[in-house]
Amino acid sequence: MSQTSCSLFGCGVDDDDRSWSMDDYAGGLARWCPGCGDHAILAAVERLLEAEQLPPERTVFVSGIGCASRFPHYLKTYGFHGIHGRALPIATGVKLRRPDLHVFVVMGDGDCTSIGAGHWIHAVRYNVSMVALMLDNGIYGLTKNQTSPTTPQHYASNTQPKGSFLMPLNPLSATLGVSNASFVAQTADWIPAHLYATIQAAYRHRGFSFVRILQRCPQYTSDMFEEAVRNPKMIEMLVHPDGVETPELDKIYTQKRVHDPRDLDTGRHLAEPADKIRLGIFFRDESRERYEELRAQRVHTAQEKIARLNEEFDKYAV
Amino acid sequence: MATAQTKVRPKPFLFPQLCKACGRCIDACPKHCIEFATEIDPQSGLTPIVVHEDVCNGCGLCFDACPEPYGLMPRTADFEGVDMVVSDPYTTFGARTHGAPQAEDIPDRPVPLPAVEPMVLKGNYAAAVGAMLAGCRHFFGYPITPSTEGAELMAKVLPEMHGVFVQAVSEVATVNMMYGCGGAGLRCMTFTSSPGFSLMLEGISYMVGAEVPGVFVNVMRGGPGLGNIGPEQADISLMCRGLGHGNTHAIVLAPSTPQEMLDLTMEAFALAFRYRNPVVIAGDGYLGQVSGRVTLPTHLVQPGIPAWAVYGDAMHRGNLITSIYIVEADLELHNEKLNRKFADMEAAEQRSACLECDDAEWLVIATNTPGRMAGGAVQQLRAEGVKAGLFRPITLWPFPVDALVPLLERARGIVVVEAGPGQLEDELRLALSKRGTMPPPIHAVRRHGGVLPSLAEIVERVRGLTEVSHG
Repeated sequence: MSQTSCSLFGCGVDDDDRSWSMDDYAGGLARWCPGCGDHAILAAVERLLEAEQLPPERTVFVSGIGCASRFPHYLKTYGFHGIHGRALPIATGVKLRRPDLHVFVVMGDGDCTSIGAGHWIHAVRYNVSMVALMLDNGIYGLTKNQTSPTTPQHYASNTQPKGSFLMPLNPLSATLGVSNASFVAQTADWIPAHLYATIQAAYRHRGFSFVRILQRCPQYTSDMFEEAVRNPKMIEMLVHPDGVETPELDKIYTQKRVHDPRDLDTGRHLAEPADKIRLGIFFRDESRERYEELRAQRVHTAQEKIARLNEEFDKYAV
Repeated sequence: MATAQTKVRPKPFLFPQLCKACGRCIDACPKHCIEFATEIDPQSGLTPIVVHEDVCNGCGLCFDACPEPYGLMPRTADFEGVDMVVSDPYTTFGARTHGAPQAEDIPDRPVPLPAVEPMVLKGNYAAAVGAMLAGCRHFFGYPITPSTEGAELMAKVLPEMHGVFVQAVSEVATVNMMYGCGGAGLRCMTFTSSPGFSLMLEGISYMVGAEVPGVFVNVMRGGPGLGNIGPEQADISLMCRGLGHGNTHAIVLAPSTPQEMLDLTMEAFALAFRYRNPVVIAGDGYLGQVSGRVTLPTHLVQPGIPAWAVYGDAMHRGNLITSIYIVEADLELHNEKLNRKFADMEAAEQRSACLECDDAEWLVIATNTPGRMAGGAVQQLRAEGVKAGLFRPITLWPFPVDALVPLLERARGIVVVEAGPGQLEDELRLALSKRGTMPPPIHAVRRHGGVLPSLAEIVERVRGLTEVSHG
């Protein structure tokens, strides 16, 4: 962090020796249903904030609308509870003007892949450095049980009572298919160690990190991953020294596949639906161009700005 | 000795009516012999450039600078004495041609319904039932509390009735699906709530412009922004004055009970097709959720096919749905046509209900659920001997001012009761002002943010006014 931008933004306390505990991040009792995957994700995120010692005033959580979007209310960092489907543009606005902030985006599946799909595609392409967590429970929970783009086929809801007609949208393939994707990972709410390690890898990545978190809605999709929850052999861990490694889980999750996250073609192949649920990093490339760097500007002096304006106005002088 | 050959470079020529006055040639000219004219060209409406040929040396740099395909060009003999008239592209290329026969209206047909016992339905379901009885078999929507039950009932029933239910990816997709479906001359609707309705406004403006019918049930909730899911009446200005960009209006129906949710939704389809215009049902979050006794009508509607529909058969092949009118004069004509339609709606479609209004000295004006509260309050005030009456607008646009004005002669005061910031009062004042009617003093009972005005609050307010006026 350079002195210039710090004094410019008046934060001034960047290089202090404060230390942060969990209490500095955890705010209020989360009002999600008991058993909701959101609780696990919130716990993992709080643990990450403490481990990385992110100053609460330099950390922003942006959300859209949905159950997941209650996230910023339960943290003592900066929060921005935005508009349905628009969390990514809001976060982009924050990050482009304040590149010194740590920006996290929390969205649901309806939020990100339905009403926000257009923004999602372009956020991946812009590749602005932030962590985008897509909390995917395959249903609209807040409005009480309507089909979302990721609802499994034939899964009955109030708006498709005879079961979802369409193949579910695959957010991993979609993200990996967008030009300039730079980090795509998948984890699950019922494996806290992997959840934590994945979010940590996403945070440490320079660029737009997209993490799809498989989770269950205890009310409407509690059995969606039942088989995989009961049988760890249904899970295939993508492992690599550059990926996510969770040795503490080795005895439980024995199904492993070595996948180099730099290998986009294999990543795309692995993201396709299979008989196993694959968790880990599908693709990572820090060399992808980041919008905030492409558009970075040096600081102009007041004289320079005035000169530039005068030059422009002179064109219209009579 | 050979004669010295001097190359004569042509000077620039311009049809002034084709100049867009961008000024690029002025910047490009090294001799400073081009400047803007001082007069507006009558054909283009712009101030074209003029070239002072006495200074011009024919360098030709202005030809390269001019971005217009028929702009500045080298003067040749071909141009001498030629005058050019800018013509309407429609006349240049002729009218849109088609060999289709003239389409004719296939009218709606009422079908008698067997008498059934009254039912108990929540407001959202009642509106969905009303839509089905009106012949609506096409539903597009996106989940949003407190309106979603309407969509959910349609999701269950429509596929069994050879109908279409689509959960769209957003409200933007929803309104455009309705634009398409309504354009085919079919009856379609959506349920939404305030933030979702905001998202639909662009499409509604297009539907008004292209004269496409459709029914929007807006179960209003607390705002602005995400607000909450409680009942509010803060979209009244949006629905009456702000349906997207441009010259737009739509009939806004405001039910107060589940029975009216059904009846007015049925009526909304008739109005939408009569006027070829969207119709909005303005409910409130409480009305959407509350259950009430509902009696079915005696007839349901088997919809016909309007002659203008892009229905997808040989007879309708000549039809085109569009809201674009490139030529300003054409758009003005189109807007004048819309204005006549809006004036017809204002003259013919005002609806209201009265309770104890005939001799009322204190006129309470309220609609939706606050209208029910106000009804109770009026009855209580009457029992106390206060001459109170309830005037309940059922159309918010057009505001039912014709029925209201005669009541004002006797009224000593008006109390507008609303769950919102005064938008109903704004509609009232605007309607009276346009009529040139001077109202008695207007007072207000307002609650916000999802809180409804209570019966006791209304009684207390009116009672307070009577005491002041006695003292």
